[in-house]
Amino acid sequence: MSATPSTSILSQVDGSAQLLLGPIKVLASVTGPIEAKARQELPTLASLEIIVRPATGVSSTREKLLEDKLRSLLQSIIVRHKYPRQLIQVVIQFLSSDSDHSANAKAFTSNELNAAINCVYFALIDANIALFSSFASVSLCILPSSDSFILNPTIAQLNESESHHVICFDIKDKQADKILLVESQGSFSEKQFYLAIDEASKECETIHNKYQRHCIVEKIREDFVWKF
Amino acid sequence: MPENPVVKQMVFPPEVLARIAPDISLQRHLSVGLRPSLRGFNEFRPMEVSEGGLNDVGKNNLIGSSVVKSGDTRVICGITLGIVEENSVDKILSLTSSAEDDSLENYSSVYPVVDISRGRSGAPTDEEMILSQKLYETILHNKIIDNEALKVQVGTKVDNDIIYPDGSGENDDLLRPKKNWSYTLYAHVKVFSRSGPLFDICYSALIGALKNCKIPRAYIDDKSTDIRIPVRSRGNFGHLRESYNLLLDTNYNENLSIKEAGTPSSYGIIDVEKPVAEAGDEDDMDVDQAPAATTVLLADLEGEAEETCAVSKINIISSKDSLKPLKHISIIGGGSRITKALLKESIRIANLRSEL
Amino acid sequence: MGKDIDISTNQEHFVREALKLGIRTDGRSLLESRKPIISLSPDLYGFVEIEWGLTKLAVRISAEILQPYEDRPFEGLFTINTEISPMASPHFENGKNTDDEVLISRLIEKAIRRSNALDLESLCIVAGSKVWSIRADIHFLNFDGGLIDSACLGVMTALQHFKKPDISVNGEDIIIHSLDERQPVALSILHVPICVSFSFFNPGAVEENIKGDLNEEISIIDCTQQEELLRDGTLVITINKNRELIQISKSGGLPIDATMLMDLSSRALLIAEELTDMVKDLLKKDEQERYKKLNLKMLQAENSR
Repeated sequence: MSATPSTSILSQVDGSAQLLLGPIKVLASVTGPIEAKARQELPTLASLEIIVRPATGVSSTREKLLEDKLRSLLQSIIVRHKYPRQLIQVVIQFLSSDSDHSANAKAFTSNELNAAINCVYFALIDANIALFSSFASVSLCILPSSDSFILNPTIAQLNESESHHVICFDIKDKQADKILLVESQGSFSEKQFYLAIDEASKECETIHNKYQRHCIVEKIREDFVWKF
Repeated sequence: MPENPVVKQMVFPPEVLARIAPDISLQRHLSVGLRPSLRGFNEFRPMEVSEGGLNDVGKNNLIGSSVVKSGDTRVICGITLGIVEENSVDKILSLTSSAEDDSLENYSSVYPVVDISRGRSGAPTDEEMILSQKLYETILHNKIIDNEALKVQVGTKVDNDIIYPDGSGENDDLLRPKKNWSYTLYAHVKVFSRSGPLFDICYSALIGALKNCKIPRAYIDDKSTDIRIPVRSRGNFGHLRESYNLLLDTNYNENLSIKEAGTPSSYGIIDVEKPVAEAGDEDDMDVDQAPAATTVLLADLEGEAEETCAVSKINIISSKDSLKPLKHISIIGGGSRITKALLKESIRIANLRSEL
Repeated sequence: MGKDIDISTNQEHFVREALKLGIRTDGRSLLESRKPIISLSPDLYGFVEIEWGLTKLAVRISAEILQPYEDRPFEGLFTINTEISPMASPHFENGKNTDDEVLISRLIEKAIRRSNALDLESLCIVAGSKVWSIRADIHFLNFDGGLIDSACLGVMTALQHFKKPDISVNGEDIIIHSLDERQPVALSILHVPICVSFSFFNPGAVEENIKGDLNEEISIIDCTQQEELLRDGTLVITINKNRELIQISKSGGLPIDATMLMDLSSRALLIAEELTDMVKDLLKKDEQERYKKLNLKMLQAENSR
């Protein structure tokens, strides 16, 4: 997987990142903490505004569901009590996705969810938003009559697969720690499910150690006055 | 001299405390091994699904329905039918790529619209949209409805007799139009008295309604076939255009064949600050008896306190399949830690429930 | 970062005084446009990214088959989506059209759709029942002025870059051929409108209500966000390479000399010519690249046999 992001590419927002994952090109921006509108404001916590925009067409309930999944993840990973009565605005813009290559790719959201999660991490880091821990996610699928996993499957593979999973772990001290999010669909056995989780935790650690660490080190090197 | 202010301890009756400090009230309940609803931790509310509960309403549009009761919540679901012309898109490509029988391309879903009644009307809320989309995706990915089951076998009406393609045989192809149609299923899910997460109950309602769906046959009435004359303008040639009026033949009804949908189970996971009381009945036997705080599984969340305090949630759909029983798992794990033991326990209960 | 874009009095004076001396904060001369960087997607059709100074946007073109409007059975459909998300700048709210957004979308609509840049009749497949519907989604990613100019350029480049799948018609029945099976077809573009925005500044301290004889207004091309906040009047000229004037939209209170319009139009024409040629060259290169890739693929297929 090539999860090398480019960060700080937009000037009007506080943090931004772009990620290329196979056919998916996604851009995430984070603005915050900023003033919240009266109806968004929470007295003790930061409120989150999450917007997912598709590559083509207007956003529909499909994007709403993606927003909801991202929200359930981010609301417990951002240190929200640090920014009471304020707003953190997250925009995920897909520039190209699986559905550009296959008509029925709209049926699958797993690859897009996976890309959005991994991309928003870099944008949050870029925006200097306080996080409880790092997080990384993995998209994988299991083909019928085999027990091995395919990481970052293509649409054709997803179409043939028996089940597909997006699994997101939080990472503390370079170790995958807690399950943050799981979206599994298809038909699978309990054993396969546990194996998928184990596989995902390993892969999340790889993503963290290979790409995320590097990004954080670069970020500190670039942004803070006391240059190394 | 002002008097020393005396801080008086405030005491609230339980129902007031539950209103003003739901988290404290919930913790108090849980620490004595009870839930505010007085259910056990692993106890689900009974769900009463009456399939076809609305079928006597009228035979015009409604082809399947169900009424579901669970706790205080009532869900009414009705399924209506639409006909769309099938696009002959990429015939060659689809022949090559979908050799796999079990490919997702061969399955359909319903288009649900969830409406949670809250005493006012207006644009759909986020919860309604998210729930609708979740239901749509789950039914699609569970591969419950085969595309074949929704193909329209068009008959033709000749002199008050309707000839269907599987009937007489020989002159089928002559009478049949070249176009293909298929049915789309629309579901209207109306929720009354919401008292907790709604996915399970809406899913059960939708499946209940699908199970008693009666698909009518459709035919073309010759008299209503509309043929337009060729048109021509600025180099564009309009072709002879026929538009057919498809009529539904309510005398013939076939049951919609759907595959096993599985049983949904949902849980919240929450930390109980004090050890679960010595009462120790079998409900919390399998929970780690750590001294400081224990994490417990609460089945089938009910009420605002449980819903907001249990940040970590697990949704499972499990079927009777002995090899690969799990259909769907969705976990939100940002709150209390979801341990493997808790996960195993939740899957075990879900599997048990599906076998009922 | 606050939600409202505001500019301090110091900055305002600085920019204005500099303009009076003919200097702009980014070092350009008054009538110098920023040079756009256009990147075309090597594998998708109709996906263009534009960097116009700090302004960034991506345009995606997509096509589907729909039924035409009852009253126009021979015409295809063409929609341009110009919704601006808070990604471009936090002062754009999601799902809420501000006046700026409406203005931008109307100007682009007029420049491209109403000027018949895309031949709608060529999108007809079966009159009255099936036509191509072309959709342009403009994703504004970063905002630093010049949204109209860059969006118009982006859409026009993407339209020329886009190819729709080939179809065969057999009576009422149509078959859509996949891109692997048959070479896709380009859209029929009748002309390439280019928008050029001018901004006017009043150098005097007093507001000018009636046009004086002084003619002191400063006009600049392609202003940045900072200059956009301070300007007293604006003019958008849409023109194509064939010297056809498509749209003139003058807004803002500052009156300008009528003869100036002639001068500005001819400047706009120069820019339009330059940009049109630049896009043409880029598209040509892209086409060659694709052709090369295709050839390579064929060779590989032969080798493996």
